Amino acid sequence: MSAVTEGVVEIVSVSKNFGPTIAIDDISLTIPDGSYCCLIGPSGCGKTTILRMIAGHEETTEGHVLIGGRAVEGLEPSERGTAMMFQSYALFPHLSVADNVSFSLKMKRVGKDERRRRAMEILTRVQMDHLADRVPQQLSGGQQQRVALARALITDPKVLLLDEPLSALDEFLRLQMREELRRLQADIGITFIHVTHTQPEALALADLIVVMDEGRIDQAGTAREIFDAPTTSYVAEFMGGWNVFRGEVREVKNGTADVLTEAGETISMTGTSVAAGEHIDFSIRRDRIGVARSNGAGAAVVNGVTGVVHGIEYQGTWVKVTMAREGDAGLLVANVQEADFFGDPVAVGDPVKANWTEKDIHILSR
Amino acid sequence: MSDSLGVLLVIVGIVAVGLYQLVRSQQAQGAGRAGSMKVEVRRTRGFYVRTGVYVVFLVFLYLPILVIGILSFQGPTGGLTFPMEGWSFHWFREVFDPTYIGDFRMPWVRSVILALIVMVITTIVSFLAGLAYRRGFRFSGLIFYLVVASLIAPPFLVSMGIGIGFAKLGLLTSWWTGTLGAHLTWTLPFGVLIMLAIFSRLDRSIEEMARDQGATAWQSMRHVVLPIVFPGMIAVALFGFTLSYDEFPRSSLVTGDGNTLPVEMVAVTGTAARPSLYAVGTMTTVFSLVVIFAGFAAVYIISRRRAGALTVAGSVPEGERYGKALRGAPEQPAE
Repeated sequence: MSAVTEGVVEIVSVSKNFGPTIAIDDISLTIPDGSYCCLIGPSGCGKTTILRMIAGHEETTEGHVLIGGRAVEGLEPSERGTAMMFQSYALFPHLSVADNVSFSLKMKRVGKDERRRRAMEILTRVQMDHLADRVPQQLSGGQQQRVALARALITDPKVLLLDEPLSALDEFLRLQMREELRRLQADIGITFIHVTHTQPEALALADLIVVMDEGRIDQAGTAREIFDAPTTSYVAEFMGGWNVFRGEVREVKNGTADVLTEAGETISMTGTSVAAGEHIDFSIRRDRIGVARSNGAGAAVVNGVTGVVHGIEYQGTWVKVTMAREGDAGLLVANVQEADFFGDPVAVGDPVKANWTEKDIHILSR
Repeated sequence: MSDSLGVLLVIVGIVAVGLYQLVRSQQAQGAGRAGSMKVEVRRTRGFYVRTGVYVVFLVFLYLPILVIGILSFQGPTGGLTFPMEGWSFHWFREVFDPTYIGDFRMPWVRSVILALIVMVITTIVSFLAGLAYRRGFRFSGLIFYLVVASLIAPPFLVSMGIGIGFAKLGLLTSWWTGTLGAHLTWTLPFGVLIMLAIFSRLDRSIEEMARDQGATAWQSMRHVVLPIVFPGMIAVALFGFTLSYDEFPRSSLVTGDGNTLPVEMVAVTGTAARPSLYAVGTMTTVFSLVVIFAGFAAVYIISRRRAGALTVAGSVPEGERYGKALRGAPEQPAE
């Protein structure tokens, strides 16, 4: 068997029930060898459960998990060629850093000198060799994480499983460690499966993003695919950066379709080939919306909505303008370029109209 | 006169210590920390009342022990109370070589051995109970209430119950049967409660991680769980020993022929008491203190060793700075 495919993870029709609760509902997924895969979703969507089933800390109720082409049912976590990094790191408080890292070797009865040598080797790799004799309580969060990483990597796994590894860190550290993780993965070349609920993190790190909701996979693809071409309104809303509209086409006149949204407003759009009576979900990217002052009661806009400024948030390179749509139809968020905003800055309460072009209308499947 | 003077000196001593602490803390407050705002502490009247109560409490607690301690150095012709007829080690010698009735040597040996047995059993059973509760089992709630009930049950009744029970079974109670059981009804609740608390603080993911690292159940127990709960087990052992060593009411009706030390001391008190009783009291108090001190020292040494205090200690910020230097200037969060 070629070594290249040793880190392939295949999830085949897997379901997991905890008593009456369905945690995972018939999921199938293939994670290519050597890729960085992020499982993302809200709390309770099942992403950690999947991770634990790959690791061997849970068994599937139905379906199979294959690692490197080999079915791993019934195998102990240490026999699967995987290593897991817990969210809490779970460092052994009674052992030094070096002893923590070489623990798995001690379980395999490797000699003391050899253990020390290999521990120092891997600690050097994560830049923790100078703290080898400390105990976990003496380390900062970022340092603890690196020790946990070293401990996982020393077992020479084919797949590294990370359960929200960056959640416990402060903002600065999170960004630093993110970079380090990416570099590490590229360096070592094994498959990383990383569970997170932070969208920018997934976008930054992953070759493959899997968006999950309630035990099912909503969409799986590259970061650009997920962000730029979400297939469902759930993915669009969850990943952020979009305004989502759901509605029904009322009438089509001269290529302009009037859509009555669930919120009760009517939006006219061009450039779409829909028929009256059809249900339609579509979304517009926040940074593709232009906001301009309106003179109050104007004519209805095409490819746009009117309303009143609800909130303004300065974000340095752009300004987040939240608009209350007319007729109490909800909020629209536009990320306006800083220069554009300050050309004619609007204030909360000003009547405005928001516009987009027809090519920026993204149709969602459901 | 030396009698009342002696007692007076003790009281004065305690009060003096209390006042000294008071003054010192006031000074520390007044001096303030360098460079910080001066914090003005207004001592309310309530504070002095509370301090007064505390001093009285200390006196009440320790005065009897100190008085007994003083009286144990009673002269050879002296009696059980003041005045002191000279000072001597006569009564200490009497304990080891008794000329009167009231031989405390065997009872002391029994108490020590019994306490050791109780200590071992309590520690092992409490540890196992902690594991069992961690896992969860049927009727665990009921058993927990029974364990707590054992603490609340009046000890004399427990003793009587065991005594009657043995009699009905046609068995003779002795210090290593009935008394052992009676002591365990007292020490096991303490031990189990302590181990429950200790185990509840032990993160489950630690054991899972051990398994992830390839440890078998036994390896996980030996290399991970045991070392982590070990200080707690020393605490349980300490409780087991001292609770058994000092135990009276539960033992009173079940020691049979051979009394434990506390039972013997009480038995002697009504009839043949001599200052040798005080000498035994003093020695046994010192003995208990030594045991407790040894227990704490063991825990202290273990935790210091684990905290890495015996290795070269640097400061955490230093380590972080080193890491930052390697990676270059920190990035600004720009989301």
